Amino acid sequence: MSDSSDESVDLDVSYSQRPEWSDITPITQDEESNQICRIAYTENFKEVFGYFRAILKISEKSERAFDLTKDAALLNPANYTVWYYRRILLKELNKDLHQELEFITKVIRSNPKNYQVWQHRRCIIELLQEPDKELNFTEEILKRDSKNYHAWQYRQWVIKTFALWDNELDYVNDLITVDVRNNSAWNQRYFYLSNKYDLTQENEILNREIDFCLEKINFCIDNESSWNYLRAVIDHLIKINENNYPQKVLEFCNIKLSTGRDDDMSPFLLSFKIDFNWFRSKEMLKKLESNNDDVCLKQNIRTYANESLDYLTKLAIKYDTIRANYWNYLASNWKQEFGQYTQ
Amino acid sequence: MIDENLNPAIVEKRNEKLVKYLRQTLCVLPSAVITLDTSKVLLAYFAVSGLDILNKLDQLPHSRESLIDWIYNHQISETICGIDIGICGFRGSTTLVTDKIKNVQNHEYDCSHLTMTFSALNALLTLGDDLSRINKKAILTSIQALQLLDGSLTATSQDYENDVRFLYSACCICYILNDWSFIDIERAYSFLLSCMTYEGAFGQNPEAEAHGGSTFCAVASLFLMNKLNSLSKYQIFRLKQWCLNRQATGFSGRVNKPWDTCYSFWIGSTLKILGVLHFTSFPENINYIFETYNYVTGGFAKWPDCNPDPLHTYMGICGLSLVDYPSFEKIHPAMAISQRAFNHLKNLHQKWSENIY
Ligand SMILES: [Zn+2]
Repeated sequence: MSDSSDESVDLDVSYSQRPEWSDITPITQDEESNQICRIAYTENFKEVFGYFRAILKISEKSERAFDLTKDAALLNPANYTVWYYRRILLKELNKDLHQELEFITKVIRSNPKNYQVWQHRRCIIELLQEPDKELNFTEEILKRDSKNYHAWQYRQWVIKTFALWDNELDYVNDLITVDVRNNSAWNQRYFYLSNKYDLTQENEILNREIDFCLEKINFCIDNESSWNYLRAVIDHLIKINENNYPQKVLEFCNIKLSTGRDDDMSPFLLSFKIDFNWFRSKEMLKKLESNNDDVCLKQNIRTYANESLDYLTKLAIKYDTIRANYWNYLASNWKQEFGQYTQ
Repeated sequence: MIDENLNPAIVEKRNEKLVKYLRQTLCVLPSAVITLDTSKVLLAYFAVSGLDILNKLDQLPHSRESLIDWIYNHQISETICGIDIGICGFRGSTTLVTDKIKNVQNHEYDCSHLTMTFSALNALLTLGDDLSRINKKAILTSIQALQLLDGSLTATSQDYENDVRFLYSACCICYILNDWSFIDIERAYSFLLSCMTYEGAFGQNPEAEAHGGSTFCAVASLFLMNKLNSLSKYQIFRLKQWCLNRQATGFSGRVNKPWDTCYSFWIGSTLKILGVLHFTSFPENINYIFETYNYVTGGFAKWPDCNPDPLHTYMGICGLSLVDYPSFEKIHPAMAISQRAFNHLKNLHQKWSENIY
């Protein structure tokens, strides 16, 4: 819930005292409907919306109606009809859109988490076709809250609509450098990458991303953002390279797993390796179906299963106890599927 | 501390306060919630359904009949010009109503909102209404008009905000009215898939960051339209893991974000639909929800030491119900109403099908 902007609406002169409004009779809100979930409206609110209802009823398209929508929007920036009507008036009265952009900039600054205000900005930019200030503006908002969902959605729209890709990777890199756990920035990295390249083709780009991830994981291992991103990149790579797993990822994991240091035992690392072991073992199980005597395959499955069961126990009792039920369930899956090879 | 949350005397005392908070929501709200001025039907749904889950519907501050009439007052069944471009359904409040007669569109700018139609139907079901005053055809025609080419829906005929939230509302409405013929399910499905992110969960629209609320909307929609099985095994696996990883004590809505009471419902319900909620820690979850409980007013907030609000209060109650909190009625995870209200709906469906013959 955003803060009420009521304070900012200071009616120097009440509407009922203004000669230019004397021909309008405000329509009060229906009392009967107001008996349930009644909001203790301020006097300003009652007055402004009384006139707003009257204007809507006759669909008046005038300067005074336009001014009225400003007060109404500031009193309740979440009222989508107020913004809708204001946009109709903007077009009908040929208002200065740059001035409107300035206005909505101020409103967003005080209500950065409101849906309607961002929508309104988008409408203005669509009419203006001038996206020049938009990246700077979203950066300003993201500086205050680097995970503001509205700001990110809006930024993606601006970038896509006006093809403003040039500096996005630098921006994302800066954000990730400042806060490696900023998941919105990681998401934006994926947004950039998947729009810029065809990820079903780009071996080289994907490999570069693997290096990037491993560097960030090495810097901070217990970071879900980088692990999730790594998994997605690997999924693309495997498809290109016919299930050939990127060796450097495995080497990295094995080094971390072999240190034995508690600091390195991130649940994300352990579960990553367990999932890898699972899919590998399943593949080998398939091969065993056609060649049941392959001792080497059986030995490999045993190694994977034992290792995984060891990690699952560690997760359940030490490193990720809140999900103990889940890890125990995965352990029972391992035993069910590969139990015969662990004896 | 954890045991205290399940102590019958304490449970009883807190329930009393929660009832007080919900009753207050149905009566008078402070002007601080002014941004909810267009969403009073949503507030009423939260409060009525909250009381229902607490098994305290007998403590409504108004008569059932007056509440039901009040909700129906928000229904637009007829447009001014005769054709519907997404006008019919329920308004969220009468804040822009200008006429005495309310069930006809009052003026050009008077229109329904999908989330409010969904909320109105849920509240009516909870109150035991038989939906006989619902103009099904008008609502469904309106939904049809609000669906876009990409399969998503806008909330109203006025804005072009289109995302998984309104698709979810539409799915609930179609499910309740027991008619899917006005919505293009294939397109809706492909829109939902396009909202699935590289993290394995869903964002609010394509390419947006995976988010707990959006993930609930997407998964519940897939469940209601009977499309959950169309996801691959691997997709389901990643989805479950993403959701399970959201638990810290309470649940977070995004990776590396702080936990918040409402996600005990958004993520909790998603996990329930996916059949893996029992892999989470119930005591830790309950404990966190009560860290956000306000001992004076009785509501829940998003974080400890914050002001409670109706949304987090209802989500907190639903979150508790999902993890078998004592004395609470179970909820239907996808519809976000009590199992009792859901059974009432099933009876209505039965009745409607018999009436055809
Ligand atoms: Zn919340």
